[in-house]
Amino acid sequence: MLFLCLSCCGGGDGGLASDGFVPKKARDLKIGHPKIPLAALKPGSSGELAKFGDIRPEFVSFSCVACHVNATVDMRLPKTRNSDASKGPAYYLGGEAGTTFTSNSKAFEQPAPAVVEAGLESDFKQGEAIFEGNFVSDKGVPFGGLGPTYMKTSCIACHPGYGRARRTDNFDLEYGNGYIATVHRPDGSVVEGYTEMLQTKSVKPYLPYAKGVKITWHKFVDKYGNRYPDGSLYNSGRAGEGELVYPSAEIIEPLLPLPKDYKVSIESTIGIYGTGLLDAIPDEAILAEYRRQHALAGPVKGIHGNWIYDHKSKRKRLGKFTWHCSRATLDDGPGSNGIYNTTNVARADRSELYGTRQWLEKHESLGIDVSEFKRAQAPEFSMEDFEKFMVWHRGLAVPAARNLDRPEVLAGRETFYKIGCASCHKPEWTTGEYAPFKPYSGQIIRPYTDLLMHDMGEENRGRFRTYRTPPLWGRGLMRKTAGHSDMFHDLRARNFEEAILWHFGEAEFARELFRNLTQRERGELIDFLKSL
Amino acid sequence: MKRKSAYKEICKLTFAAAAIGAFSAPAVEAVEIKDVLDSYVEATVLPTYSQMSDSAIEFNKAVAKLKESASDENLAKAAAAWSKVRTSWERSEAFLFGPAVFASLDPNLDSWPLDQSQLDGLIKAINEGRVAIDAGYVRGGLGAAFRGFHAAEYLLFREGKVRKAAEMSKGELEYLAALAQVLTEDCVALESWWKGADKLSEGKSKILEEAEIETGGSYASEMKNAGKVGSRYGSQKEALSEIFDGCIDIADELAESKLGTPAKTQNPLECESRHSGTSLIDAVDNLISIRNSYEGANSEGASLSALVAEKSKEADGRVRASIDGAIKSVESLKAPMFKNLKENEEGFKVAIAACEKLSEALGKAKELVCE
Repeated sequence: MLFLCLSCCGGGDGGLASDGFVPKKARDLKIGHPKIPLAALKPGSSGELAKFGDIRPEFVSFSCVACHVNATVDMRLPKTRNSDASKGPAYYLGGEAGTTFTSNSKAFEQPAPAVVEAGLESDFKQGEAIFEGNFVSDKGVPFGGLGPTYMKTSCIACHPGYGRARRTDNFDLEYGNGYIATVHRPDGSVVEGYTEMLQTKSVKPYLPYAKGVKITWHKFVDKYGNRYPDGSLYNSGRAGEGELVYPSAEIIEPLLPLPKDYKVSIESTIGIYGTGLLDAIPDEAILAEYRRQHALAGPVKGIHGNWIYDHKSKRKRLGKFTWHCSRATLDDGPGSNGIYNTTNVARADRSELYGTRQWLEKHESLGIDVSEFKRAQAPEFSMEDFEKFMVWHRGLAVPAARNLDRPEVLAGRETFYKIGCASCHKPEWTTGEYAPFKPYSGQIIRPYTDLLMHDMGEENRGRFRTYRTPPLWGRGLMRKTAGHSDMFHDLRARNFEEAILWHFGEAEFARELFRNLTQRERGELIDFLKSL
Repeated sequence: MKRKSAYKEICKLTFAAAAIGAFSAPAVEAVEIKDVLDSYVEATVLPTYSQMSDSAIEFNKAVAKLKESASDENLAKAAAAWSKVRTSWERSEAFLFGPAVFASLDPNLDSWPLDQSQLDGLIKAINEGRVAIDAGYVRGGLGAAFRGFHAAEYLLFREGKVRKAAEMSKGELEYLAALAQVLTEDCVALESWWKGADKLSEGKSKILEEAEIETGGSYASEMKNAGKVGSRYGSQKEALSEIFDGCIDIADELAESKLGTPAKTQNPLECESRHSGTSLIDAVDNLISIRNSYEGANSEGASLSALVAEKSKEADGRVRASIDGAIKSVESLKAPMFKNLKENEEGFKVAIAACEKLSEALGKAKELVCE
């Protein structure tokens, strides 16, 4: 088994000594395991019976990562150049069928080559027009049927440049605020009477669930005073030097009663491109990755999504979309659902009001007639248009990688593996048989996600403290496509450096290793991320 | 037309130079990508946006006058001023990238369709004194469906004609004045994002300052300095690809949506700019936007066209002929579009095919110079 600690050859004489200890399990297996200093143990941990989670992240070394994180990670690197000097498979992040070589501001808007090949360009463009269109409250008109409550009138409002919106302190901002808000209890369950996506807009005379959401930003200082070991501040030389910030949210004028222990959390949108290819990854492959992580003694232990009944295939599928793996397939995914519940525009497969019994009762108590919303809603958005929307959604290509010939990028790629990033940001997958769009079958894609959720520490607690590993493909183009590079679950990170520095919980060891790299190595790692 | 003549003059000179070259050593200078980018930014994009914000300022003045004295004459003047701003906007639609997108100016200026029932509700609320409307209210409190060109259009026009002043309520006049002010701010902001706030005229700077709108950097500089530190364009070819993609996108949008959807559905409600009846004028202006981007306005030979011609005269000729063909086919349609959907049934097919052909020709030309 490769994951045994072959690289740690320091040997150990066993037992608990004043200068350190060798874990009992390693001793029993007669593995040459180096001594772990006692100072590495978290308070309350029991010496030689300690598990990996009892070790302070700052004591995790490259050799620990090699055995306990990377041992079963596929470390093979795809070729950057073919034998004829053309761009090699490393560039094709979306596989042959799904990679576009457009790298300008429209990089996230392109049809996959397979869409063009299949003659679906016209449907794709018409679907795109729906994504960009503005829904209105009028009935029986193009884009009609908005409301009675809603969050946004268009998809593009939250996905400028087809990516994700930027951080903001103005939740009310129509374009460019990519947050959704959820009013929940401490365990993350939605407060009774509220919709999962808090709707703060309404068509008169109806009332929204709340008048708005107030966002406040707070400063965060880590135990190192936001400095690297070499003394330099995080984000050195940039705006916000030495400063990490995170948001909190409050509800403004809620319509319905709230329990004492309620909380409001905000989460950012995720990109759209490439989701069709992610949809083509078989559930079994995700489970295999889940098992791989759990077979190791190390800190990385993803959680897979729930099994969700899929009406199309009539079987249960594994949740893999959204920050919490709450959606299993693209047809029932965040996009197909989002165009319904963000706008409250009904269609044949979403004929119920996106609303709650309590909302209806509140209106009745105020003498506002809501009887029409108690029954199935007549379709306001045709299935024909929805199918085109889905051709577009499924067909959005992934931008090719860039600059992979540059030495600094290649060095950064090595560091990416060395400090354990690839364990959660799983580089490569092979798609399975994909019935919704056959050309996406059997593609080798490189999204850099394991499609599993990970504990990101109390520092990242929102509605939950676990989040699905977000894909990294295309991230280096965000500034071009949407004019910013804000990322993380609530956009607390303004750039790659801050994003890495917000890795706590299971990933804190990687944060520590990153902090201890030289400035040059850190820069190279970021150059690699920018090349994706 | 003046721009077109200038181009022809350049061509003549080029041919003359080539003819002389036939008898002496060849001395045809290669077209530099840097010059093409400079020319695109300085002679096409910036003048279009500058003209647009100039016209918006005039529109705002015309609306203020209308609000002061609601006569048919003042209403006609305001409507004409709106059309002028609209022309510049439609002639900018081949460069809907950069600030128009990331500063959300495209949706704020040009959201469509309008939410007519909510808009009527708002006007009623203003008339009943329940809403005190001003620019700040529009800017901060109203969504894109209640602002921009089409909200103003709805107040100024109906059924393809300028309304009568007597039809306009006090609330509508107040709303229009607030809209015109915000539209002006948005147009000036777009110019500022491109040009750089420090290069705006004093008057325009004051407009942004009063609205507390800040813009950052200069997108013009980033495009011109493509491939250098500080530019988001990693290479000059990438910036060129942006220009091509901007052109291709609007050609596709004409084929699929602006002409395509009304042609397919035969539904007048699908016609953008229906209230002013200017859907076809918009379409021609979009194609002119492509021509200005590709052939260059006052480009003195440093145009995409010249760059493509260096690689393949045939490919360049195909793009230019496709632009002309598309413009002619749209000009042949009977206006206003919303009233002539049936009559235009055959014409639509020709125009849509012409836009598709143009998109394809641009795609091939792009491959020649960007890969």
